[in-house]
Amino acid sequence: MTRKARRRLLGAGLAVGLAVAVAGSGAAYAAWSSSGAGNAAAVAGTAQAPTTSAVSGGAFTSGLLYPGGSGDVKLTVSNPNPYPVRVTSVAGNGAVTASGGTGSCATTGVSFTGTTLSTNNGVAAGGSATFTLPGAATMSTGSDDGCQGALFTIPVTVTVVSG
Amino acid sequence: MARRHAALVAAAIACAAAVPSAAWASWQTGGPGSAAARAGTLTAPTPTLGTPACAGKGANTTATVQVSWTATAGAAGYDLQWDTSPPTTQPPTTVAGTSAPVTFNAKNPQTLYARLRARNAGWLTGYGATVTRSVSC
Repeated sequence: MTRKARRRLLGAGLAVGLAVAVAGSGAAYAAWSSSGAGNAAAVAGTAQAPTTSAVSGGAFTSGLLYPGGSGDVKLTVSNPNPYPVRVTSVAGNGAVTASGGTGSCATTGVSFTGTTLSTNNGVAAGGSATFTLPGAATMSTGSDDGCQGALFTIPVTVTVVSG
Repeated sequence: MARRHAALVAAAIACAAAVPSAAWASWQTGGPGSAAARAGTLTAPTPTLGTPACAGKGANTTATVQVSWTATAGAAGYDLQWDTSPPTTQPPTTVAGTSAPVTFNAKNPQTLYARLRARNAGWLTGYGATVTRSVSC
Protein backbone atom coordinates (compact mmCIF):
# COMPACT_ATOMS: atom_id res chain seq x y z
CA MET A 1 0.00 0.00 0.00
CA THR A 2 1.34 3.42 -0.95
CA ARG A 3 1.60 6.27 1.54
CA LYS A 4 -1.24 8.05 -0.28
CA ALA A 5 -3.45 4.97 -0.06
CA ARG A 6 -2.72 4.62 3.67
CA ARG A 7 -3.73 8.25 4.26
CA ARG A 8 -6.98 7.70 2.40
CA LEU A 9 -7.72 4.61 4.48
CA LEU A 10 -7.01 6.43 7.73
CA GLY A 11 -9.14 9.36 6.72
CA ALA A 12 -12.02 7.11 5.75
CA GLY A 13 -11.86 5.28 9.10
CA LEU A 14 -11.95 8.48 11.11
CA ALA A 15 -14.82 9.78 9.01
CA VAL A 16 -16.81 6.60 9.66
CA GLY A 17 -16.15 6.90 13.37
CA LEU A 18 -17.30 10.49 13.49
CA ALA A 19 -20.38 9.73 11.41
CA VAL A 20 -21.38 6.96 13.82
CA ALA A 21 -20.83 9.29 16.71
CA VAL A 22 -23.12 11.95 15.28
CA ALA A 23 -25.79 9.46 14.27
CA GLY A 24 -25.67 7.63 17.59
CA SER A 25 -26.17 10.77 19.60
CA GLY A 26 -29.02 11.94 17.42
CA ALA A 27 -31.65 10.95 19.97
CA ALA A 28 -29.97 13.15 22.48
CA TYR A 29 -30.44 16.22 20.34
CA ALA A 30 -34.09 16.37 21.40
CA ALA A 31 -32.96 17.27 24.86
CA TRP A 32 -29.40 18.48 24.47
CA SER A 33 -27.93 21.10 22.27
CA SER A 34 -24.66 20.60 20.49
CA SER A 35 -22.14 22.90 18.88
CA GLY A 36 -19.34 22.67 16.39
CA ALA A 37 -19.94 21.37 12.90
CA GLY A 38 -18.40 17.97 12.45
CA ASN A 39 -17.62 17.68 16.13
CA ALA A 40 -19.20 14.73 17.95
CA ALA A 41 -19.02 16.32 21.38
CA ALA A 42 -22.41 17.24 22.89
CA VAL A 43 -22.92 20.21 25.18
CA ALA A 44 -25.41 19.62 27.92
CA GLY A 45 -28.11 22.15 28.66
CA THR A 46 -29.48 22.70 32.15
CA ALA A 47 -32.39 20.58 33.30
CA GLN A 48 -35.23 22.82 34.46
CA ALA A 49 -37.23 21.79 37.48
CA PRO A 50 -40.87 20.92 36.86
CA THR A 51 -43.60 23.20 38.16
CA THR A 52 -47.15 22.55 39.24
CA SER A 53 -50.35 24.49 38.83
CA ALA A 54 -53.52 24.52 40.87
CA VAL A 55 -56.16 21.85 40.45
CA SER A 56 -59.69 23.14 40.93
CA GLY A 57 -62.17 21.56 43.27
CA GLY A 58 -64.37 20.79 40.29
CA ALA A 59 -61.78 18.28 39.10
CA PHE A 60 -62.82 15.97 41.90
CA THR A 61 -65.87 13.96 41.04
CA SER A 62 -64.82 10.90 43.02
CA GLY A 63 -62.15 9.83 45.46
CA LEU A 64 -63.29 12.32 48.08
CA LEU A 65 -61.93 12.32 51.60
CA TYR A 66 -63.97 11.46 54.68
CA PRO A 67 -62.77 10.95 58.25
CA GLY A 68 -61.07 7.60 58.63
CA GLY A 69 -60.74 7.09 54.90
CA SER A 70 -58.54 7.78 51.92
CA GLY A 71 -59.02 9.87 48.80
CA ASP A 72 -57.42 10.82 45.52
CA VAL A 73 -54.67 13.36 45.08
CA LYS A 74 -54.41 15.34 41.86
CA LEU A 75 -51.65 17.52 40.53
CA THR A 76 -50.83 19.22 37.24
CA VAL A 77 -47.17 19.06 36.30
CA SER A 78 -45.64 21.42 33.76
CA ASN A 79 -42.43 20.53 32.01
CA PRO A 80 -40.38 23.60 30.95
CA ASN A 81 -37.73 21.50 29.26
CA PRO A 82 -37.41 20.96 25.50
CA TYR A 83 -37.53 17.22 26.02
CA PRO A 84 -40.20 14.91 27.47
CA VAL A 85 -39.98 13.84 31.09
CA ARG A 86 -41.54 11.18 33.25
CA VAL A 87 -42.80 11.91 36.75
CA THR A 88 -41.27 9.27 38.97
CA SER A 89 -42.28 10.37 42.43
CA VAL A 90 -44.39 12.86 44.30
CA ALA A 91 -43.48 13.38 47.93
CA GLY A 92 -45.22 15.45 50.56
CA ASN A 93 -43.09 18.20 52.01
CA GLY A 94 -45.20 20.42 54.20
CA ALA A 95 -48.36 21.08 56.11
CA VAL A 96 -51.66 20.58 54.35
CA THR A 97 -53.98 23.57 54.29
CA ALA A 98 -57.68 23.81 53.53
CA SER A 99 -60.00 26.26 51.85
CA GLY A 100 -63.63 26.36 50.91
CA GLY A 101 -64.98 24.11 53.62
CA THR A 102 -68.27 24.53 55.42
CA GLY A 103 -66.57 26.15 58.40
CA SER A 104 -63.36 26.28 60.36
CA CYS A 105 -60.89 23.64 59.21
CA ALA A 106 -57.82 24.30 61.33
CA THR A 107 -57.26 20.58 61.82
CA THR A 108 -57.54 19.04 58.39
CA GLY A 109 -56.52 15.55 59.44
CA VAL A 110 -55.19 15.10 55.91
CA SER A 111 -51.83 13.48 55.30
CA PHE A 112 -49.91 12.57 52.18
CA THR A 113 -46.67 10.68 52.51
CA GLY A 114 -45.90 10.34 48.83
CA THR A 115 -46.09 7.92 45.99
CA THR A 116 -44.10 6.67 43.02
CA LEU A 117 -45.25 6.48 39.44
CA SER A 118 -44.05 4.02 36.85
CA THR A 119 -46.68 4.08 34.11
CA ASN A 120 -48.73 6.75 32.36
CA ASN A 121 -46.44 9.33 33.90
CA GLY A 122 -45.14 11.24 30.87
CA VAL A 123 -45.16 14.98 30.32
CA ALA A 124 -44.40 16.23 26.81
CA ALA A 125 -41.63 18.70 26.09
CA GLY A 126 -42.89 22.11 27.10
CA GLY A 127 -46.23 20.61 28.04
CA SER A 128 -48.22 19.78 31.10
CA ALA A 129 -50.26 16.85 32.34
CA THR A 130 -52.65 16.24 35.20
CA PHE A 131 -52.15 13.12 37.28
CA THR A 132 -54.49 11.40 39.68
CA LEU A 133 -52.94 9.45 42.53
CA PRO A 134 -55.74 7.12 43.67
CA GLY A 135 -56.20 6.86 47.40
CA ALA A 136 -52.93 8.65 48.07
CA ALA A 137 -54.24 10.94 50.82
CA THR A 138 -55.75 9.89 54.10
CA MET A 139 -57.94 11.74 56.56
CA SER A 140 -57.86 11.06 60.26
CA THR A 141 -60.92 11.04 62.46
CA GLY A 142 -59.63 14.25 64.00
CA SER A 143 -60.66 16.30 60.99
CA ASP A 144 -62.71 19.35 61.94
CA ASP A 145 -66.40 19.39 61.11
CA GLY A 146 -65.83 22.52 59.01
CA CYS A 147 -63.55 20.59 56.66
CA GLN A 148 -66.56 19.16 54.86
CA GLY A 149 -66.29 20.03 51.18
CA ALA A 150 -62.89 21.66 51.60
CA LEU A 151 -60.18 21.68 48.95
CA PHE A 152 -56.82 20.77 50.43
CA THR A 153 -53.52 22.12 49.20
CA ILE A 154 -50.71 19.60 49.70
CA PRO A 155 -47.14 20.85 49.36
CA VAL A 156 -45.12 18.34 47.37
CA THR A 157 -41.81 17.75 45.70
CA VAL A 158 -42.13 16.40 42.18
CA THR A 159 -39.26 14.39 40.76
CA VAL A 160 -38.94 13.82 37.01
CA VAL A 161 -36.46 12.08 34.76
CA SER A 162 -35.83 12.80 31.11
CA GLY A 163 -37.18 10.50 28.49
CA MET B 1 2.17 1.30 9.70
CA ALA B 2 -1.03 -0.58 8.84
CA ARG B 3 -1.41 -1.67 12.51
CA ARG B 4 -1.09 1.93 13.62
CA HIS B 5 -3.77 2.98 11.18
CA ALA B 6 -6.05 0.20 12.33
CA ALA B 7 -5.58 1.28 15.95
CA LEU B 8 -6.51 4.86 15.09
CA VAL B 9 -9.65 3.72 13.31
CA ALA B 10 -10.59 1.50 16.26
CA ALA B 11 -10.07 4.39 18.65
CA ALA B 12 -12.29 6.62 16.56
CA ILE B 13 -15.07 4.03 16.55
CA ALA B 14 -14.70 3.47 20.29
CA CYS B 15 -15.01 7.19 20.83
CA ALA B 16 -18.09 7.23 18.67
CA ALA B 17 -19.66 4.48 20.73
CA ALA B 18 -18.98 6.32 23.95
CA VAL B 19 -20.89 9.45 22.93
CA PRO B 20 -24.37 7.96 22.64
CA SER B 21 -23.99 6.04 25.88
CA ALA B 22 -23.43 9.31 27.69
CA ALA B 23 -26.31 10.92 25.85
CA TRP B 24 -28.73 8.19 26.86
CA ALA B 25 -28.23 8.69 30.58
CA SER B 26 -31.46 10.07 32.09
CA TRP B 27 -31.49 13.41 33.75
CA GLN B 28 -33.32 13.68 37.01
CA THR B 29 -34.54 16.84 38.61
CA GLY B 30 -37.19 17.83 41.08
CA GLY B 31 -39.04 20.86 42.19
CA PRO B 32 -41.50 22.03 44.81
CA GLY B 33 -45.14 22.43 44.00
CA SER B 34 -48.54 21.54 45.29
CA ALA B 35 -51.12 18.85 44.81
CA ALA B 36 -54.75 18.83 45.83
CA ALA B 37 -57.29 16.59 47.48
CA ARG B 38 -60.88 17.29 48.32
CA ALA B 39 -63.17 16.43 51.18
CA GLY B 40 -66.64 15.12 50.66
CA THR B 41 -69.71 16.47 52.39
CA LEU B 42 -71.99 14.42 54.58
CA THR B 43 -75.67 14.41 53.74
CA ALA B 44 -78.54 13.62 56.05
CA PRO B 45 -80.81 10.90 54.66
CA THR B 46 -84.58 11.04 54.73
CA PRO B 47 -86.15 8.16 56.65
CA THR B 48 -88.95 5.89 55.56
CA LEU B 49 -91.48 4.74 58.16
CA GLY B 50 -92.75 1.18 58.00
CA THR B 51 -96.15 -0.24 58.84
CA PRO B 52 -96.88 -0.05 62.59
CA ALA B 53 -97.01 -3.30 64.50
CA CYS B 54 -99.37 -3.04 67.48
CA ALA B 55 -99.12 -5.01 70.70
CA GLY B 56 -100.84 -5.06 74.12
CA LYS B 57 -104.20 -3.69 75.12
CA GLY B 58 -105.66 -0.60 76.69
CA ALA B 59 -103.15 1.60 78.43
CA ASN B 60 -100.41 -0.86 77.58
CA THR B 61 -100.96 -0.73 73.85
CA THR B 62 -97.72 -0.09 72.00
CA ALA B 63 -96.82 0.40 68.38
CA THR B 64 -93.50 -0.48 66.82
CA VAL B 65 -92.48 1.19 63.59
CA GLN B 66 -89.40 0.27 61.62
CA VAL B 67 -87.51 3.36 60.47
CA SER B 68 -85.18 2.81 57.55
CA TRP B 69 -83.10 4.93 55.20
CA THR B 70 -80.50 4.77 52.47
CA ALA B 71 -76.87 5.19 53.46
CA THR B 72 -75.22 8.42 52.40
CA ALA B 73 -71.61 8.83 51.25
CA GLY B 74 -69.02 9.04 53.96
CA ALA B 75 -71.37 8.57 56.89
CA ALA B 76 -70.27 6.21 59.62
CA GLY B 77 -73.47 6.51 61.61
CA TYR B 78 -76.78 8.33 61.92
CA ASP B 79 -78.63 10.07 64.66
CA LEU B 80 -82.30 9.10 64.65
CA GLN B 81 -84.62 11.44 66.44
CA TRP B 82 -88.30 10.68 66.74
CA ASP B 83 -91.34 11.75 68.73
CA THR B 84 -95.09 11.53 68.71
CA SER B 85 -95.56 15.23 68.62
CA PRO B 86 -93.75 18.03 66.85
CA PRO B 87 -91.19 19.31 67.26
CA THR B 88 -89.08 16.24 67.84
CA THR B 89 -87.44 16.94 71.15
CA GLN B 90 -86.43 13.46 72.24
CA PRO B 91 -82.68 12.82 72.50
CA PRO B 92 -81.42 11.19 69.33
CA THR B 93 -80.28 7.60 69.14
CA THR B 94 -77.10 6.92 67.18
CA VAL B 95 -77.42 4.04 64.76
CA ALA B 96 -74.54 2.50 62.81
CA GLY B 97 -76.72 0.79 60.23
CA THR B 98 -79.58 1.99 58.09
CA SER B 99 -82.63 0.98 60.07
CA ALA B 100 -83.93 0.95 63.60
CA PRO B 101 -87.25 0.16 65.30
CA VAL B 102 -89.04 2.70 67.44
CA THR B 103 -91.67 1.66 69.96
CA PHE B 104 -94.09 3.99 71.69
CA ASN B 105 -97.33 3.97 73.60
CA ALA B 106 -100.25 3.89 71.22
CA LYS B 107 -103.31 3.65 73.41
CA ASN B 108 -104.59 6.64 71.47
CA PRO B 109 -104.10 7.45 67.77
CA GLN B 110 -100.67 8.99 67.30
CA THR B 111 -98.60 10.61 64.65
CA LEU B 112 -94.98 9.52 64.52
CA TYR B 113 -92.39 12.11 63.57
CA ALA B 114 -88.84 11.04 62.63
CA ARG B 115 -85.74 12.64 61.19
CA LEU B 116 -82.06 11.83 60.74
CA ARG B 117 -78.66 13.44 60.67
CA ALA B 118 -75.40 11.84 59.49
CA ARG B 119 -72.12 11.70 61.37
CA ASN B 120 -68.57 10.52 60.95
CA ALA B 121 -66.11 11.20 63.78
CA GLY B 122 -66.25 14.96 64.28
CA TRP B 123 -68.32 15.58 61.19
CA LEU B 124 -72.02 16.07 61.72
CA THR B 125 -74.83 17.28 59.49
CA GLY B 126 -77.94 19.10 60.45
CA TYR B 127 -81.18 17.16 60.60
CA GLY B 128 -82.80 16.29 57.32
CA ALA B 129 -86.43 16.30 56.43
CA THR B 130 -88.98 15.16 59.01
CA VAL B 131 -91.34 12.42 57.91
CA THR B 132 -94.60 11.45 59.60
CA ARG B 133 -96.91 8.48 59.85
CA SER B 134 -100.31 8.16 61.47
CA VAL B 135 -100.58 5.26 63.91
CA SER B 136 -103.86 3.91 65.19
CA CYS B 137 -103.81 0.59 66.98
